[in-house]
Amino acid sequence: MRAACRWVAVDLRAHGGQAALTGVIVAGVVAWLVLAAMLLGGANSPWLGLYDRTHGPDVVVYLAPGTPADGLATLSGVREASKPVAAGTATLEQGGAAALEQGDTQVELRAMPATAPAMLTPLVVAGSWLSAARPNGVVVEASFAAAARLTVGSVITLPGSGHRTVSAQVIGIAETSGQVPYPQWTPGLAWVTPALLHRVDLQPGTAQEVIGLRLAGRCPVCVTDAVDEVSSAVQPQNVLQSVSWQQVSQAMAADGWLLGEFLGLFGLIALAAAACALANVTAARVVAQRQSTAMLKAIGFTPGQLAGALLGENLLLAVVGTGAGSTLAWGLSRAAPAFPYAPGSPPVTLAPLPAGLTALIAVATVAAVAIATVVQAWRAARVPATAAVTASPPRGKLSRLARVGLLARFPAPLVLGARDAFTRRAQAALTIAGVAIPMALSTVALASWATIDGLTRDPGQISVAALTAYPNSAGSTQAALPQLPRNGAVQAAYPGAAGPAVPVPDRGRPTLPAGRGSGGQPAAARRAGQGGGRQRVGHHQRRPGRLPDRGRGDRPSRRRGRPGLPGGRAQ
Amino acid sequence: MRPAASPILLLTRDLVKDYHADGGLVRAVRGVNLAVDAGEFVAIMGPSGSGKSTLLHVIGGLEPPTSGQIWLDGQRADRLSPAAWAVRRRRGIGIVFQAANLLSSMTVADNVELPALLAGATARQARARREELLEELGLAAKARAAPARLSGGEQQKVALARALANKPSLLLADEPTGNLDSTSTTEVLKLLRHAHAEGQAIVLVTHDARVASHADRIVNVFDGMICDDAPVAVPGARQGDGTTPLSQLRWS
Repeated sequence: MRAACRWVAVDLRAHGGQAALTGVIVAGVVAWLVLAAMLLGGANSPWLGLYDRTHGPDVVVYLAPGTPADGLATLSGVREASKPVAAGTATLEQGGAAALEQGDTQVELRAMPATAPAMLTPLVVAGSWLSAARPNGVVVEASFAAAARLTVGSVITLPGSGHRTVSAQVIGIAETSGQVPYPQWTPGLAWVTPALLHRVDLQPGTAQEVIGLRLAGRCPVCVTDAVDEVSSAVQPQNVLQSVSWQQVSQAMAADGWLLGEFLGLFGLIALAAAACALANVTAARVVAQRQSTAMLKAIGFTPGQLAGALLGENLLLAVVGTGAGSTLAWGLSRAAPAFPYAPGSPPVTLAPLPAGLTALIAVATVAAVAIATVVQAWRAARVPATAAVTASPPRGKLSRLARVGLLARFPAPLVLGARDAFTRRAQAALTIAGVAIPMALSTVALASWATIDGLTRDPGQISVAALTAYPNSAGSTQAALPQLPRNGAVQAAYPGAAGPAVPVPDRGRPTLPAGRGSGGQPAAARRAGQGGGRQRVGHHQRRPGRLPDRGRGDRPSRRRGRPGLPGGRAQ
Repeated sequence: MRPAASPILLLTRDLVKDYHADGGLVRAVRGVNLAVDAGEFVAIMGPSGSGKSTLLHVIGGLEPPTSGQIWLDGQRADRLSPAAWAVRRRRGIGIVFQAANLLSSMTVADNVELPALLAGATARQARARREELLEELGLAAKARAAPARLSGGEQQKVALARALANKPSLLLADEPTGNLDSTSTTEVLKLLRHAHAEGQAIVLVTHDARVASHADRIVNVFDGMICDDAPVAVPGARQGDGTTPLSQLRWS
C-alpha cells in the first residue's frame, strides 16, 4: 500500500500535465452537468431559483393600510416576517401603456428603501436597484416590463397630485418570487422609492401594505393555517389578499422544459465524451509507461496492485475534479444567476440543486471515470514483466495503402505518421470519438437552440397561433372571424374550440385541450405561396387566466381579467 | 565461496520454455536441470541466443515455463500465478537487468526505497536501508537526483541497490555489466562479491569470462541446454586481484 501510494504520488508529480488535464476534463463535465441540472430546474420551475436567490416569501399578505402588523413573526407556523411595504395602484399615462392591452394600464407601485430588505427584495436582472441618488428611479418587474416594452432608461409618466404628472425613469428590471407574473396577475408591479410613491396620485382604495412571511412548513395546509393566523391577529377584514408560493410557482411554470430536456441530454452526451477523453488519456499513459509498469512488476508489484494504483490515481483525480467542478458551477451560478437562452426571451433563473442530485452527478462522473480507467488499468496489469527488458515497437504492419503511398512518393513522414495514428486502433477510435462526440453535441445543441429560438420568434412555423382570441359567450368563432382586421397584421385566422381544463399530473398545472382550424380550413403549417410567412401581430401575449386556488378563494380578487372571457391556458 | 552442505535454494527439473515467433516454434530452454545452493554464486555463460536470459527470466518468474519444475526454498514455484510470483520476488528474489531500467519518474532514493516499501517496511525503515545502500555505493549525495542525471555505471549501481534493498536470498543478474566500461564493471562486481559474502545466492548471466570468473561455478548453456557445469577452480588458484586466470576456466 505504501509503495503504491509512493508510486501514485511520484507519478502525479512527474506527469502533472496529464493529471491536470484529467482533472480539468472531470471538472468541466461536472460543472456542465450541475449547471445543466440547475438550468433544467430553472426552466421547469423558475420560481425555485428566484426563491432561493432572493430569500423570497412563502406567502405574501396584502393588508389594509394602517393595519398593525407587529408580532406577525411570532405567530404559530411563521418563522420570519418582513416589514410592511406601502403599495398602491396608479395609472400609467405614458411609457409602456401603449404596449399594454387596452384598459390595462395600471401598475402596482411598492415603496422600497434604497437598502433592500432581506425579504421581498427582487433579483435585479438588468440595470440597478433603487438608490437615494435617483429618487425618480423605478425598478420594473420583468414580465411586466416585457409586456409593456419597458427597458432600462425608459421613462414612464404617472399621475401626480394636483393634476400634475410625475415622470420616473426605469433604472432596473427585476424578478420576484413573491408575485405571479404579468399578465396572469394584474396589475403589473414596479418598485419605487417611498418619496416617489408619496408624490403619485394612487387610485382610490388601492393603498395597501404588503408583508412577506417565511413559514416553518411549506405545505399547502401550513400556508392556509399561517394566513388564518394572520387573519386572527390583524382582524379578517384587514387582510385584503394573500398569495402563496404554490400559486406563484405554478404560474411561473414556464414552457422551458424542452430546453431543460435538451440540456439534460447534452449533459449525458458530455459525460460519454468525457469518458472517451479520459480513456484516451489513460490509455496514452499506460502505453507510455509500459516499461515502467513492467519494471514495477519485476520488483514485486502484483497485477492487482498495479491496476488498483492506476485506478486509484484516476479516481483521486476524478474526486478532485468533481470537487473543483462543483465549486466552479456554484460560483458561476452565483455570478450569473440568470441565463438568457434566447435573444428576446426572459432569462432562465438557475434553480438550486438538491444535495442528492448534486451527489448523484458527482457519483455518476466518478463512475464514468472508473469505467473509462478500469479497462486501461486491466491492460496495464497484463503487461508482461519482461517488457522491462524487451522493449518492442507497437504492433502493426505497414499496410498495402501505406506501401502504395510510399511508392507514389507521398512524403514518408506523412505516410508513417498516418500509419502510426492507426496502429493502436482502440486508441484511434477513442480519439476520434473524443473529438466527434463534442462536435456532434455542439452541432445538435446549436441547431436545437436555433430551432427553439425560431419557434419562439415565429410560432406559425409549427402552426402555433401568435395570438389566440376568445370571443365572448354571446358570439361564435365563425361569427367573430369576419370582424378581424385584414390590414396585413393578421395574415390568417382559424376558428377553434377549447374544452375544460384537465390537470396533467406530471406538469403540475392545468392543460387546456384545444383544437384549431376546421375541415375546410385546416390550421396546418404555413401554406405554400404565403411568402415570408405570417407576420407577428404583437408579442406572444398571454391571456389572463384564473389563478390556481389561492387559499383565500372566498375573498374578492384583485384581478382585472377581461370581462366575459372564459378561463384557459395562455397561448 | 560455496558454503559446505548448503541447502538447495533453487532447483529446476526438465525446465522447458517455448516461444511462438514469426509463425514458428522457438524452443529457448530445453530441459534444463539446475541446482543452486543458498549462498552460491553461479555464472551462466553462452553465446547470444543460447537461452541463458530466458532461463533467468523463467527462474525469476518473469515468464512462465512451458513445462518442467521450479523449486524455490523447497517449494514448488512453477505453478504460481503472476501475482504469487510477484510476492515471491518482493522478499526473496532481486533482479538486475543489462539496462538499469530505473523508474525515470522517480528519484534515486525513491527507486531504492520502493521495493522495501513494497515488502512492508515502514517509510523510516525504507529510508534507513536506502541510506545504508547508497552510502556503500558512494551515491548518497545523489539520492535526490533523477536517474537520467547519472552515468551508466551509477545507474547500474542504483539498480543493484534496488535489487538488494530487501536482502533477497537469490539475486538474478542478467548481464549487469554488459553496457559498462571497465571501471564501472569493477565497481559492480565488487558489489556482487559483497552481496555474495553476505550469504546471498547469485545467478549471473554474462558473456564476459572475466566477470564469470568471480563465480563459484560456471554453467555453460548452448541451444537452450546446459552443456557444461563445473566449479571455477580451486580457491588457491586465484590471482592477486581476486580473479581467476582464463587459462583455468574450463570450456566444453
